[in-house]
Amino acid sequence: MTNRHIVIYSPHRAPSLIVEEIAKYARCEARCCTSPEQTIDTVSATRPFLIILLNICPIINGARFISRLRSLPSPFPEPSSRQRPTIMVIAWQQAEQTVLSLLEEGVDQYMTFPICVNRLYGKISTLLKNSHQ
Amino acid sequence: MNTLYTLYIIVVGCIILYLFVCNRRSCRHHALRQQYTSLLISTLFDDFPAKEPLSEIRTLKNRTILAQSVHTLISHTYGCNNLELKQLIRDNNLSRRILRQLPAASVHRKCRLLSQLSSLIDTDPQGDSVLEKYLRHDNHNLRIGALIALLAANPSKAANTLSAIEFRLQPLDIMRIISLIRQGRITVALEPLFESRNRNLLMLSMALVRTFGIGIVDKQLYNIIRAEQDPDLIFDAIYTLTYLKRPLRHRIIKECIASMPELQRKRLCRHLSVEGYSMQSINAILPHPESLYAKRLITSFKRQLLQPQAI
Repeated sequence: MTNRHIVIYSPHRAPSLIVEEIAKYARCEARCCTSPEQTIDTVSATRPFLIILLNICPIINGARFISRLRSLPSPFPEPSSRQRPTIMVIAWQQAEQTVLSLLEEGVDQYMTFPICVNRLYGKISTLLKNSHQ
Repeated sequence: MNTLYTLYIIVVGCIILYLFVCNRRSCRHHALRQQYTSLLISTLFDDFPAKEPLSEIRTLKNRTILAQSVHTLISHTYGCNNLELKQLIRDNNLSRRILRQLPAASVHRKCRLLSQLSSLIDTDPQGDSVLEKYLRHDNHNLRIGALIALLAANPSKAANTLSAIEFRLQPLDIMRIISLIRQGRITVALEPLFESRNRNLLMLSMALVRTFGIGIVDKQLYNIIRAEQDPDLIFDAIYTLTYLKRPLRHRIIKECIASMPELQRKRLCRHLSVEGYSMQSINAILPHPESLYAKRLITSFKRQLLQPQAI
């Protein structure tokens, strides 16, 4: 069975609606969460191939939240780097150190708003294709 | 007692009814917003058949939600094929409707409406005179909202519009203009901005250099430090040089830093520490107390030495 789940975290509904619609065009099943706790529960329940975070705090920078997401038990019996969910952060431009600390905690991709709709669609499609290989 | 009890029941009933209506309205708005966003996204993809086309929306409330959806989409995305989007905005007369709502709205709502207006790609040409009127308003937020809407409406006249304004742009205002440039909605040539003597245009040019990391403007930055009297402009030029990681050993820069107020020097010191300047470089341009402060910052846990080779 193919895994087409995407979990989107954003405390604001408006940007997550846009990303949700783009994910739907890439034939993925997107679920939106508005709190970190809800995101962790949804990730545990749905085992998505991609987690998109649309909000990071400038001071605390959300690194702890990402490390919690990364420490969730793997959905697969054999640990494999390819099978872990990809974490993508899309945020308004942040300081270099914030981005670096996010990457150190396990974020795979970082994009800044405003995003190109076609580019995000292409990225999601590629990740979906790679997750099935 | 009975009257009080009845009154209590009526009040509680009214509150429950009010909450129920609000909740229902919010759910309906959310569903509509989702529907409109879905439709708007479908217009941006070339290779997907668009969903059922949206006919002219008759309800005022629904048009407001459509305008909000367009605003959210345009402010979060760029580089889309927006011909159909333009048609949709034109069919529903969104910009004219917002312009009609402006005079009666409160200041807070006016700011929101102006922000929405700046997102509508097909702005009503008659709206320019209305927006120019708001450029002279007492409220700074309204002035900036009108300026951004005017820039978005007339992208080819961006430099002229910016040079004509009479108020000072704050850093946040400049970032809003840069956001428009990043989205590709307005284009400005950098060199004419540097050649101008207008403070706002010079501030914008330096912010552009910092944002896009343009490293061929050292001469222009030195010219600003040499020729300008405005301390904000000089400070911004020094800041821009540090963003480009340029050495600050020039005599004029040293003189400018020495004449800065202590707090501003401390701010610059923090910035130099974060940008990875070595202690030797900082010692050469800052007096003893500030260089000690920089040493503390560099060795403290707050500063991670990210750059392998210091300048």
